[in-house]
Amino acid sequence: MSIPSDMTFETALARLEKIVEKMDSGEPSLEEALKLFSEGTELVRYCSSVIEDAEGKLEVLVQGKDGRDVAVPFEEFNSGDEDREDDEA
Amino acid sequence: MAGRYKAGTSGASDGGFGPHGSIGTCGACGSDGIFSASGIPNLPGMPQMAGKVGSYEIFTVSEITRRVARALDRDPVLGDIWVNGEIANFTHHSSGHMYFTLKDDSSRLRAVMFRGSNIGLRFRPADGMRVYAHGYVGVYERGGEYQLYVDLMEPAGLGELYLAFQQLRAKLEAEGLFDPAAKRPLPKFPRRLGVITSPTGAAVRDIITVTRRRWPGINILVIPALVQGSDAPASIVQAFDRAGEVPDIDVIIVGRGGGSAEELWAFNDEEVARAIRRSRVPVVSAVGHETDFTIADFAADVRAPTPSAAAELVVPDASAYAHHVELLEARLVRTVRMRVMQRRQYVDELSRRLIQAIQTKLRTNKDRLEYLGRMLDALDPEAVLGRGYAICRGQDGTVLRRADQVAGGDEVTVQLGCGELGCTIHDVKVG
Repeated sequence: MSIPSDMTFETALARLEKIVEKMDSGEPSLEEALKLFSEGTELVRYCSSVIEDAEGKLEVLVQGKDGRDVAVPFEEFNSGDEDREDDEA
Repeated sequence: MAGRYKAGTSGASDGGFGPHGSIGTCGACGSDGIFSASGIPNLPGMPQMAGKVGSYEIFTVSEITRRVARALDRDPVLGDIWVNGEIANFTHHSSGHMYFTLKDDSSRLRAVMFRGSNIGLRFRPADGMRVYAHGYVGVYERGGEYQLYVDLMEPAGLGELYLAFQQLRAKLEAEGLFDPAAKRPLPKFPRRLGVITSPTGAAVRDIITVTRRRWPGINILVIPALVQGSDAPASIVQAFDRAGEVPDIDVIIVGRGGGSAEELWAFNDEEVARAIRRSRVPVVSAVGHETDFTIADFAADVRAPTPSAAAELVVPDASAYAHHVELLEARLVRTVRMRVMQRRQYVDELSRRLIQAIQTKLRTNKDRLEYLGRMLDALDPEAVLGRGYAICRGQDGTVLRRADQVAGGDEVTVQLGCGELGCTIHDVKVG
């Protein structure tokens, strides 16, 4: 089993919780339990990777040359504007 | 007012207060005046009681007061009004109630604001202050005076903004724009957070800081907007439209840092409220500070008191989830290990039973073999010969069982326990 690309943290966590609960119940056969275990460890790996993800992107939406919106790194956009504190004062 | 109400029970021809008000002052009434008809001296014993004197119905003071009170109660306007006036004769009684007069150039209106209402006041009323006061006009029966019972009051100036705010709020509320049932839940684990605010303000920095602290991996997209000034509402609406074009935004925070009521005014704009409701994804408002609610706050799916608080609401705490996942993993490993161990035990037990079964089987067979061996031993002809029996064979070596197998003169061999005898038959007796 591999994690589908459209898996979200929320669905992964929910599935993991369900697997653990099922395993705890002792219901599944050994073969099934081993299958669940391998799926469970993959989910653990996936969840941990999402939690420990490197810093996400910090961007700002600006109008590109063609008039369409593009996301550019926030620091680039903001450099030189740092001292405009009075904007909201 | 008198002209608007027809009294149903007075019996007086035009039912208004006018005719009774003229009692005693109508010196020119001639013979119709009650003084001349029956004379006051006839009535000293019952000054409190109503009755009829001539064609006039006589009311008690209380009755008149109650009647006026009823009339005011029924008035469609006086039950819910805003009054603009200047405060005079203000007293804040030790009971907590406030008593004052509202006046303008040509008239005065007595007013009372009870403790339960005035503790919410955001300013200290004082003589000479111009205010907007909301409430209803009623009668204070003991004093026989009508007065304004105030439940809300704002200083004029700010009061005008406040009135506009209240009207817009009532209008949008009636439209269902603030319907609690329409509030969308926030995503539990947003992946990309839209932030509509000034890109250079304190709000955006607070949101970034809190987000990075709680769940560093979340992507943030700032959609710049003016957050104060007359262009701000249109700018915020446009930002929402632009955010709507970005497909992977999960949730939007719209807001700004604290400010005066005027500075926050863009968030009391009708179009901003509508843009919030139009948003494809849930919206958290984060305007100003703890106490002031804006129209945007009412329209938003969730209201946060500050931008930092908004980020706290939107962004889950990664460390708590890391711990949760660790615990799940430990349970997973433990249960599967237990299952494997149980299975191993069972296999061990089966193998033990199998060996046991085979051993039992083998032992049984061994016993049987020994028995058969003994049986074979018993049947061994050599052993029989040992006991004195003999085997007699004909010339071709066949074992003789009957006497008529040979005839006199035949040669036979007799095998004994030890050695053989060659013999010749000399007599045959067939048995």
